Amino acid sequence: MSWARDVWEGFSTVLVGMNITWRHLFVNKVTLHYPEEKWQLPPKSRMRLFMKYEDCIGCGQCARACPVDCIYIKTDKRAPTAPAIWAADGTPIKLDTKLFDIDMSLCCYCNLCTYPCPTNCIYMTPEYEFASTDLTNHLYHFAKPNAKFLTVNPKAPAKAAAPGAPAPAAPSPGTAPKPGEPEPSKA
Amino acid sequence: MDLVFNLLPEALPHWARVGLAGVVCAVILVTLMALGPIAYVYVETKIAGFMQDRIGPKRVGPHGLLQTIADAVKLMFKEAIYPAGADKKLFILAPCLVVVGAFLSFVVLPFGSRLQAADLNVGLFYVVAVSSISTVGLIMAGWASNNKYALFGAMRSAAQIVSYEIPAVMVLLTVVTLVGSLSLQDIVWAQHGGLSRWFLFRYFPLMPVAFVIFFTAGLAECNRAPFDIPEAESELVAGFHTEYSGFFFAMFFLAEYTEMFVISVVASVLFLGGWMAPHPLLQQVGPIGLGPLWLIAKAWSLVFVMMWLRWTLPRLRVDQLMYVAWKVLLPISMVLVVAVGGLALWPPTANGFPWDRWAGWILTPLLFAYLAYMIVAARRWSARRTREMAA
Repeated sequence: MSWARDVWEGFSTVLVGMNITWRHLFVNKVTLHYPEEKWQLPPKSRMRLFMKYEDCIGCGQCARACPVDCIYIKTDKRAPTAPAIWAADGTPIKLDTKLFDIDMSLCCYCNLCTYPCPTNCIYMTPEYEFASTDLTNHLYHFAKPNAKFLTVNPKAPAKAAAPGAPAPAAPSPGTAPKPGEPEPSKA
Repeated sequence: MDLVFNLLPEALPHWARVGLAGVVCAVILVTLMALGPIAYVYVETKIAGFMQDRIGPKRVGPHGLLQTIADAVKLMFKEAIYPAGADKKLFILAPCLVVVGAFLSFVVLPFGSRLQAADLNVGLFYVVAVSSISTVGLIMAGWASNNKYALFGAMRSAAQIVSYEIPAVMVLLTVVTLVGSLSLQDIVWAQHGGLSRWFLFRYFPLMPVAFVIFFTAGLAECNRAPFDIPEAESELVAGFHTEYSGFFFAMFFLAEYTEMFVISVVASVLFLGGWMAPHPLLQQVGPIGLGPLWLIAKAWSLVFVMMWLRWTLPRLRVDQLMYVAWKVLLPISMVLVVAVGGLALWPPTANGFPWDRWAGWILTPLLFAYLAYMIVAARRWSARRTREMAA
């Protein structure tokens, strides 16, 4: 009678399976209509890199941290006649960053470049739709050597302008100014 | 065909009227049946998507309606590649033969009391005979491709169709013994008078088994999952059509879906009353007969069940396939032939057991009610799950 049981089991389990697929015909679909609907990214998602040029002090620590060497920086010493400028957190900018390129086609999205940045000016944005048919479109130029703020009426940040102000927030070995350098308030 | 024949002017000689009527019928049928698979492929992709909680084609046209048309056009314009060492004549002939084998059955399919190309008195025998032609085409395709996978697929297909034709024909015999005729039109008329007279519900526990056997064997004969070992993509690349591309591949595709439709129509004619409505009152609205619609609705429901099964069951192994054919379906169908034949000889209950008058009227609503209940249950479950995910 094991034959009859086999046949019955074969037949009834087909019905069980059909029941399941019938149910799944009518449940809500999980498909996301991508270009129209987008997945909500979790906070701190690591997507395209961005660099806020106004805050960059040109220290090049991000380029040194980069495991795939996709950040290219060229700096010149800032001319002594040029007005003093500061990053948003009060760090004085002593170097003119002439070139700051990030090749996103090389980037491995490890986020290692953002940790050493003394002024938190390089960070990952939630922007991920930058596919391109041309690889050179993935080379992002962040340097703006002709930007206005470099030469015209720079304002000292309020925190740093106060006399005897302590070092800017979150000092770390990388951010601490060198002992011989003048404080921004004195300049 | 006689409808067209009578429309033609009587001034024409008889042979010209017969010829013209035949050509007109052939053109109508071939056009309809060549366009049918476009709809089936779309429905199949949608069903596949929905059963996997996806949505299927979406981009081309509204809800992806033009997707299969785009695919068909793409296939037509693709280059047909002939593999090195292929037997070119057989290679071209094979898909043609498969398509012809699939289309020939349409000659006898009754879409209405007079909507039939030809009412052969050996209609059922004819269907069984011509559906075997495509097997020859499949073997030709496998042989001519000069490819081991193609040949494996072809041999598997042949073994499978030879095995499954036997239980299928055995089950056809039960219906033929009840009707006493091989003509499909006679078989439909024998089920005249509503749901309870359909052969599905005659001799109640017996004929449903016959229907299941016929449907299973039919699935195997048109190489559909779970019996799609001739084209098992995880084992044989694509089986007998591995080397085919472009329009030839499209022809195999066309043949497969056409065969599905033919098997479904034959199953509905034999067991589900053909173009008869479930109740005589529903047979026509005023003067307009709804026969073709009923037949097509029944056939499409069966096609839907085939697709449903395809996305439910995994593929059988070759030995399991043979086990099902020879050790399960064949003995049961033989017992059915004897039992139904014996019961048909029993005069007082010539129309079945006393309870098969109402079995159909109870079971059919129960089935539909259950399916509808499952829809509601699925919606409710889905809504609850959405709420839980959001929370």
